Amino acid sequence: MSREEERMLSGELGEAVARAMELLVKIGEALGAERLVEITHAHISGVSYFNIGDFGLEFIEDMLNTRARFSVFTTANPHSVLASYGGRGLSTEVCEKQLRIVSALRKMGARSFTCAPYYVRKPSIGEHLAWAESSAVLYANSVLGAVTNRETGPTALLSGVCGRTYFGEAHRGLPAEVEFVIEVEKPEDPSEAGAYGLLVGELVGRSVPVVRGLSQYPEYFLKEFLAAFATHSPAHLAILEDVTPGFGGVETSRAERISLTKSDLLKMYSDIGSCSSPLYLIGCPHLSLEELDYVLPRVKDVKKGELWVTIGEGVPQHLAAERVRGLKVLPGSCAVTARLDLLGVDCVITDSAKALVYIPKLAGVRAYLVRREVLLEMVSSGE
Amino acid sequence: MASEVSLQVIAGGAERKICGELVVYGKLLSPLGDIDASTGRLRSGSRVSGKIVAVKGFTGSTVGPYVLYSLAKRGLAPRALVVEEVDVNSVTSAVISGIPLLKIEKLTTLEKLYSSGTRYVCVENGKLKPRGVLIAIEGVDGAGKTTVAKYLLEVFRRCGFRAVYTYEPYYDSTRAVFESGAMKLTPESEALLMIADRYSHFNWVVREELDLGSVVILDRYKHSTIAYQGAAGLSIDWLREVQKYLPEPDVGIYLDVDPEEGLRRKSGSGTRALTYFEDLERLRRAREVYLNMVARGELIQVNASLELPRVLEKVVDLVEEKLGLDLEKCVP
Repeated sequence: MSREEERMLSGELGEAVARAMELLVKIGEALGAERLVEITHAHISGVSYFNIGDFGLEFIEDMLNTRARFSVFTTANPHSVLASYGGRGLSTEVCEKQLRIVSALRKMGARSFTCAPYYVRKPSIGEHLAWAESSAVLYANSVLGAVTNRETGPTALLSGVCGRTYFGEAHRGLPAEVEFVIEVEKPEDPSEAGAYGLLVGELVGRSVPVVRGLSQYPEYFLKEFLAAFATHSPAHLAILEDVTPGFGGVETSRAERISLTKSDLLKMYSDIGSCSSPLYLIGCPHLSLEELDYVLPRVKDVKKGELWVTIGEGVPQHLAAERVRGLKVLPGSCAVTARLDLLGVDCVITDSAKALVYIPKLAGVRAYLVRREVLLEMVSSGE
Repeated sequence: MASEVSLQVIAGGAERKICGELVVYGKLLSPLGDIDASTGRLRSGSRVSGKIVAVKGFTGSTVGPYVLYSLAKRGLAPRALVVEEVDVNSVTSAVISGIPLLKIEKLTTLEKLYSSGTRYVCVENGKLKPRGVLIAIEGVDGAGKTTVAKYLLEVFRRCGFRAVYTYEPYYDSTRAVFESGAMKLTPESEALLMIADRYSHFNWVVREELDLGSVVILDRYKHSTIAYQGAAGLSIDWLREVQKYLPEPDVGIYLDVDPEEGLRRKSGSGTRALTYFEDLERLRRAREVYLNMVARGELIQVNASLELPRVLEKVVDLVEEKLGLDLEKCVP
C-alpha cells in the first residue's frame, strides 16, 4: 500500500474515504488481489429503483450522509424510465424514491447517468477504470483497450470515493491463451450483432473467447454484441480480432474453433404475436450521437403504442427534441430496468438482444427482437 | 466423535468463535429474489437471521449486497456465511454488511451433517464443528420439570434436531444406595453421592451426545444439589466447588412455583402427609437458593404457576431467544 493509501485508510482524508478504503481492501483481500490500483473513472451500476429497491437507496444515502464524495470522474447507470406510457405513469412513491437515488449520486458528484459512459468520457488504452455496468465493462476492455474488473454496484461506488479498486484479473492485461475462437458471419444490423453476442456468451461461459468477423463494423455493432455477450457470460472481456488492442499476442493455436452463421440467429427473431399495446424500444445500450442522428429523422409517425429512444444524459437537446406524437427520447433513462407491466405495456419490440433477455425477467413482459430497419418500418406502419 | 469440517476464512470477523443454527441452502443464492428482507427469511421458510447460512454461492448482480447490508442494519443478518464458490458478490455482500465469510470445499459435506440431525454448530479457527446444546430444567418438586423437559424434547425432534432427554440421579446403583439404607448417609455423603453420579453421567452419557451435536435436555442438574443440599445446611460455596468441573448449561431454566403449590401437585402422586411441614420448610429454603442463582444469572426464571400452555410457550420462547433458534414452527 502506498503512503497516500495509508493516509486514506487512517482517516486523514475523512471518514468516508477511510471507510471506502477499508471495505475495498477487505474485498480485494478476500478475492485474492495483491494490491489496489488507482483508477481514473468509476461507473456505478444499480441505479434503477426497481433493481436496488429500498436497500440500495439506503446504502447510497448512508454513503452520502457520511459526506462521501467522488474523488475521480464518476458516472452512473441510467435510472428507471419515469415517463408514462399511453398516459399511464408509475406511482408517485416509486418516482420519488428513484429521484432520491439520482439526487444522492449527483450530490456525491456523479457526472452523467448512462449505460454507455464511454460516450461521456472515452478512456484511452491501458487506463484503469472501475466500471460496474457489464456492457460498458466489455466495451472498455474489448474495444477501447482500457482495463476494468466487472465491478458490482457497491464496489464501483467505493472506488469512486477513494479512486482505487482491487487489482483483479482484468488489470493484469489480456490472457496469454484462449480456449475458444469464434467466427461470426457478417451481421447486417446492430440487432444481429447482439444476437451473435447472446450465442457466443452462452457458448463460452466463463472463458474469454477470441471473436472473428466483427472488425469491419461500426462501433455500435460491437456495443450491441458485447452487451448481449455479457448477459450470458460472466467474463470481463471478449477479444475482438483486429479491434481489441493487443489481440495479436494471444495464443489461439490450441483453441476450439466454432463458426456461427446467420441461420443460427433465426430462432431469436420469433414471430410477433398479438400485441395491442406495443412499446418499441431503441437504445439498449444507450445510442451514440451517430445512431440518434440516423434514427430520429426516420420517425415520422408512431401508429400504434409508443417508441422510446433511450440515450445518455447530456446529449444535445436539439437532437433530443420530440416532434412526433408517441415518440419519446429519454435521456438518462433505462426501459429495461423499469416495471413496464405496471405501465400497461403488453409487449416490447426492440433491436436490442440484451433487452430481449432482460425485459421478460425484470418486467414480466414479452419481448421480440427485430432488426433496426424493421423496427422503424413497424413504427410507421403500425404492423 | 462428531465430524469436523475445514473451512477457509475469506472475509473478516471469522477469527472469533461463532455459534448458531446451521441453515443449508443447496443452490446459488440470489439475495433479492430468495430472501424476504422484511422478515429475514428465505422464501423456502428458514430464517437466516442469526444463523450460520451455507449456500452454494451467490448469483444475481448489483442488488444482492444491498439486501444483506439492509438486513445487517436491522440486526437481521446471518452470523456467518459459508459458500462453496467465492465470487465478487458474496465477498461484497459480506464485507459491506460485516458478516464473516468462509469457503467450504464441498457444500454436500454440510448437507450430510444437516440431514444427520446436526443443527447447532460453531465455527472457530477455520473449523466448523457440530456443537451440542445443554439445557437444564430446574425447580422444586411439583414445578413441572419433567413435563417441560419432555415437551422441549418433542419440539426439538419435530424441528429435525438430534435431541435426548435424561435425568439425575442416572444410575440405578446410585438410587439403590439411597433407597436400601445399606450405607448410612449424612447430608455431606448424600451430596457427594449425587455429585459422583452426576460426574459419571456427564462424562459417559451427556458429553458423548454433546459431541455428536445433540441437544441434551437435563431433568435436574448441578443446581438441584446446590439448592437442596444447600437448604439442608451445607455450604453453598463448597457445593459449587466440588461441582466446578461440570460445565454450565447453555440454557438453565428455573421453574418457579410456591412450594405449597408444588407439594399440592405432588400429593396426588403419594407424598406422605406426616412429613408435609418438614418438606415445606426445606422446599422454601431450596427455593431461596434457586432464586439466588437466578439473581446471579445462572438460571432464568419462569413462572410455573401459570397455566401449563403458557409455561411451555414461555420456555420455548426463552430457549429460542437464548440460542438464536427458530422453534415455533415445530411446536406440537
